[in-house]
Amino acid sequence: MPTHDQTREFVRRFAECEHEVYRYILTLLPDAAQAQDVFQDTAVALWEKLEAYDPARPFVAWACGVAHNKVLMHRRSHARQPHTLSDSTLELIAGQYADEREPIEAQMRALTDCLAKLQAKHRELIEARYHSKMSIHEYARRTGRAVNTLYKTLDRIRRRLLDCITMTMRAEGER
Amino acid sequence: MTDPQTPHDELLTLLAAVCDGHADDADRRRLDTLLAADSAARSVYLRYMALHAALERRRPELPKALPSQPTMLVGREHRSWRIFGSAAAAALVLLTVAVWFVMQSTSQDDAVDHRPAAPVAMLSNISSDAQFAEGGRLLGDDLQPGMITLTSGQAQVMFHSGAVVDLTGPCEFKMTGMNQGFLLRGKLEATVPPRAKNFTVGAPYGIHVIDLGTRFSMNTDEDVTRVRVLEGRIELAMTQDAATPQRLTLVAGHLARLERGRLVEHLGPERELALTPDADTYINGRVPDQSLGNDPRLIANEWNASGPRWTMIRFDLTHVTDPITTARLELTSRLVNAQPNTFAVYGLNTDAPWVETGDGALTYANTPWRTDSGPNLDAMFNAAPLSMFTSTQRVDELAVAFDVADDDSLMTFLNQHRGGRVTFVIAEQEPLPDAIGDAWDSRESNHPPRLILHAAPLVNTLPGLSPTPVKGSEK
Repeated sequence: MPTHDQTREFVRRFAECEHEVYRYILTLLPDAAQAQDVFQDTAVALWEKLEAYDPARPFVAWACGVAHNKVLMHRRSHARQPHTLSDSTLELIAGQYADEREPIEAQMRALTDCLAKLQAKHRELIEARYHSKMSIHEYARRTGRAVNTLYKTLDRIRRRLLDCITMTMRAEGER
Repeated sequence: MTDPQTPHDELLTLLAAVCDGHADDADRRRLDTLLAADSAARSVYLRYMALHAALERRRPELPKALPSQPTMLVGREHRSWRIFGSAAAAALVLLTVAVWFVMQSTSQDDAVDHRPAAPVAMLSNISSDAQFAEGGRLLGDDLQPGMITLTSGQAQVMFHSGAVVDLTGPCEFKMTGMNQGFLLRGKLEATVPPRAKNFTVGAPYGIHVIDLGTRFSMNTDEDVTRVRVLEGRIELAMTQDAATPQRLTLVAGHLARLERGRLVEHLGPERELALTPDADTYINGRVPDQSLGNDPRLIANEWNASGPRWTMIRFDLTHVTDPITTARLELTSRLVNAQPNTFAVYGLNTDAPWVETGDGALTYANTPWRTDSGPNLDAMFNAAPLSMFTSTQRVDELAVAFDVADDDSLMTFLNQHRGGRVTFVIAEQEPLPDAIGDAWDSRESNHPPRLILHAAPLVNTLPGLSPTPVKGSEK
């Protein structure tokens, strides 16, 4: 059993990197519900393997390694379901993630400012899509808009946010 | 850049379809082909999924104010004022309560004596979160006859007679003499050594609990008072009806419930019942047709992106006939949370049967309590949660969903379902996009949920324990 201090240290370290671990899982398994299940399994596995963790190694790297294995196990146990990424593409993505994780981490810090620059109706749609209990179909019904229109709008908003993040980072780089 | 004319336009369209859940097999194959062929496409993919993950897990909040939009400056200043306003309102309420008690205490004291009363007790212990409406009290303070109003936390009053009274806030207790007090509202536990025998605590509607060397607890909300004997004996005097005052002796393990000064229930010693569920499952909006009754976990998570998940646990109370006096629901946590989550426990306000597994097993889609857009909370639950609890954040730790005694909406709910079945529904409250919610072991695991009840038989008719006229009042 981990000691009290180990437990506290684990919770602290996990809290620091849980967003990144989830992002890594969602990148390899681009389905939110499945990614959530794997994230839960990963959190338990990290806890259970805590005594095997080498403190000299970055915690996030260890956690992502465990998450990677959990993603592969999940894919094997759901082999009958169609996967978005093939095995070989998944490994390409995982390899490239390791190279690009730091700039991506920095880019996401610009997200709050970029969200603030969206039109109010677009922010509302983002909230509805990501944070309300309504499905997009329900939101479409309530707002009298077509579901396809909402999907296209969401697509445009995400592109706009990516552009905004890119420009923000570029401007910071020029300072 | 992601201009629609760039080569990544198709990639971005496919990514939107995948993230929003409307990609078909052809879309997925095409996406895989694009990603396999080009590292630049993979870079776009990584950034897009990072954005998608960040949006899912971002805490909903007001966007930061823009300098060019002064009307959006509702942030810090406005919020600070509201917090101050709320604190000021609370302080005003406390002040009003304190003034009321001071006035009442003063008027009563005036009728007797203008001199400062001698201390009758001492504040012998206070919890770190103890708050008093009268203002700051210190450990060791002498206490004159008068009101002590504990708004939160716990405090211990030691009478000079030796009787010790532990108060649990919110509680209003008045010290009325060297060996007596009055519980106006709230809960206390009294421990009385032999030298303080006959220590008396009054309660509204002419109730007096006279100690005969014992330990007892009392709680009252004015109309309803409960007295429980923990050790030894007490005498319960009911003098509301001056013409026929009554007195009842209660022994250890007995509980008396009085409404407006009249005995309505006298229960004997409790027995403990530890129940495991006769059915448990969770329903998942993401897989609305899937039965999850065989899952070794129970999950509650309101997070929208993967559909809400609610846990349902049913217990068989068909053999519970005696009134239930305490209830505790224990769950064993199945995952680690970095942030604690808060959960509400609801009681299903219908006896409609539901099936855990097999034909007709309960799912999100077939739950009989639903609207077009999903389960119908109003029809499904009682109006308000029966209880709230916070996740443990640790695997294998015990999460106590509730632990209540005596009068409580939860106890009422349980007692209404004695002789039948009771279903609790657990839902995450004020959900943040933490992706986890919480999970507990189901009855299919080694640590099933446990409902631990205490039930006590009615003993109103037992010889020698029926209310009898108070000696000296007989005519």
